Amino acid sequence: MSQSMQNTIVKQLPILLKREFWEHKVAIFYVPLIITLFSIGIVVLSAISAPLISFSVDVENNGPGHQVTIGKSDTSMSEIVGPQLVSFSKRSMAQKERVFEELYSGFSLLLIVPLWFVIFFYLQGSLYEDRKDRSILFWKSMPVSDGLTVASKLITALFVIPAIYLVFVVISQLAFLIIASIVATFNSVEVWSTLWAPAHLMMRWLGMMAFFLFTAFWCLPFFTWILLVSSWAKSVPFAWVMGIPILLVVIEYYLFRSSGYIREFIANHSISFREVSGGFSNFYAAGVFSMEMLLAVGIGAIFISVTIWKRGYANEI
Amino acid sequence: MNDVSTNIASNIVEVKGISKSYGDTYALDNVSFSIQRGSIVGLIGPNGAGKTTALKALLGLTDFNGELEVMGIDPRTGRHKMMENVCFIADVGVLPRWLKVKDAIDYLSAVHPRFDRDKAVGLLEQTNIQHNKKVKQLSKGMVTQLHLALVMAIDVDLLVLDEPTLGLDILYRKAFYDSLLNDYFDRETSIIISTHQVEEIESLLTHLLFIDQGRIVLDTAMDELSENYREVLVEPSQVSEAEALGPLSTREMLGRKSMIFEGVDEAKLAPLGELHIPSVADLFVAKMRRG
Repeated sequence: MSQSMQNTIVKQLPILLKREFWEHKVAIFYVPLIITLFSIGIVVLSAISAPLISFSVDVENNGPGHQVTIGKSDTSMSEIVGPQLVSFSKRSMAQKERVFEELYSGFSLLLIVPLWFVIFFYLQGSLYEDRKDRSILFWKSMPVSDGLTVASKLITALFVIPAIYLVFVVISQLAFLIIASIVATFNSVEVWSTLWAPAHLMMRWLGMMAFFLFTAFWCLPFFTWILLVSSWAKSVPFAWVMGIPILLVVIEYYLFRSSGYIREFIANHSISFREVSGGFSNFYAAGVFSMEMLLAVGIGAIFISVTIWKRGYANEI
Repeated sequence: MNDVSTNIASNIVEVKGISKSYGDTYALDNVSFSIQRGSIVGLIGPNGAGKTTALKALLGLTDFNGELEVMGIDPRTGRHKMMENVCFIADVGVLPRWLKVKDAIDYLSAVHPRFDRDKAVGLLEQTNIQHNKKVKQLSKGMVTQLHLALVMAIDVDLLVLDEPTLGLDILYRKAFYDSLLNDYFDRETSIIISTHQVEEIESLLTHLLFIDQGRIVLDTAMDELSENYREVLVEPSQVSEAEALGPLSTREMLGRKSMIFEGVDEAKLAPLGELHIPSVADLFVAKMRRG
């Protein structure tokens, strides 16, 4: 990379990322803000008045089931808020940790499920909408290379948007602990050992960060495929995004019946809602330097190259 | 190839035999022309003649066959480099609707090495456009004013305008060309304008390019136009004499016949009737009829 190319990137990339933020402010910023305010509001209401939300966490058994119901409930926020904090503080550390695990998993899902939708539709529109509304003629009249344009979209989807959502996860988890601490103090419960220590906030946040980073590369074929479709589809990009992989799977099924390599690969490397909240588990650690990872990044790189090439002659539609 | 590179010094654009087809219809059919530094070229043709395709090829927005260089750069491979020296305004409405005026200025400041922020702000002060407004909150005319202000604040060598006033009312159209003319009058910038409203830009132009069905049918400087073309209002008694000189076109005008001649000696034409230099619009119609 030449010096002048580096200068251009340093000068242009920040404003290109800002551009993406301006265009998608609602999805990138206001949606998580409102969700966060809403969930903090629920917690505050539960802490000061009759509980609107009840958690029943299966602490005694090892089952992972947790259950969140919203609405007037006659059970209080058992184990967490109010006088229950007193009994909660007497549980073992392992039990406390489990409660936080379940509680915070549910909490972060409130933000992470929307996050995946936002990223999906952001990518799908990123190189499509400006062709549809003809503003591509303005963007292309700027001395910005197609490669940098595509890079700015991908960086936004894989790093900027998750980072912003992560900040809101942090805020909502902190807010929850602060509110619970206030209630605890009023009930003379030891705040650190009951709440902050078992919550493992730092580890939790690092774990989520690692999870997003891992997903960015592990699911690179998934993200870049959407981007690629967005760069050439003349209409309904969603149909192409979904249709072609489904077609591939069907063809594979008719050709080979039993083996479903493509199907498995697609399922494996798409974002899913299963493990979003779990943080950085061993599964990911094993995946980081695997052949499978290499393959995923390789396919992603091919998709990116084709996207840049398609963008080169992209026009109004 | 040699030809192209030796001409670069004086010509800002060199187009050599470019073609572009959609299916079996040619949008551009072996088109060649060049644009000299500092000239203002009108690219004129009926709808679907290939004007927009020609400009898109020039801007690196479409693929084509043939040779094309803008300041020595092939726009197919060097668009972003070329765009440091080229500005482009398509017909109204290509500014993204969600973009705020102040953000547009920030964007250009960061992205464009030749953008003059103070100048853009100064130009916008002459309009009713507020900096915190989004493009979608502006009227059609104001969007064009905004785009023109942004573009005029960029010091470029070539300005490409593709039907820049399409869909605007006459007041904004007039204002657009007035500010364009005032601002670029003493610059070295070359301008290429495509339009089918020839009358509005006729006085601006230094060169004319007529395009029809993907072919260049006329490529001339405006001062050559006055040397080569004459419109004669022929008296009824002299019609047959006039027709013998082979007029480009003939039309009825208030009982007399108006004929346009190409390259016929003025001495021969003078006895036939009143002489004029034909308007670009009339010449255009005459050329199109022949093609």
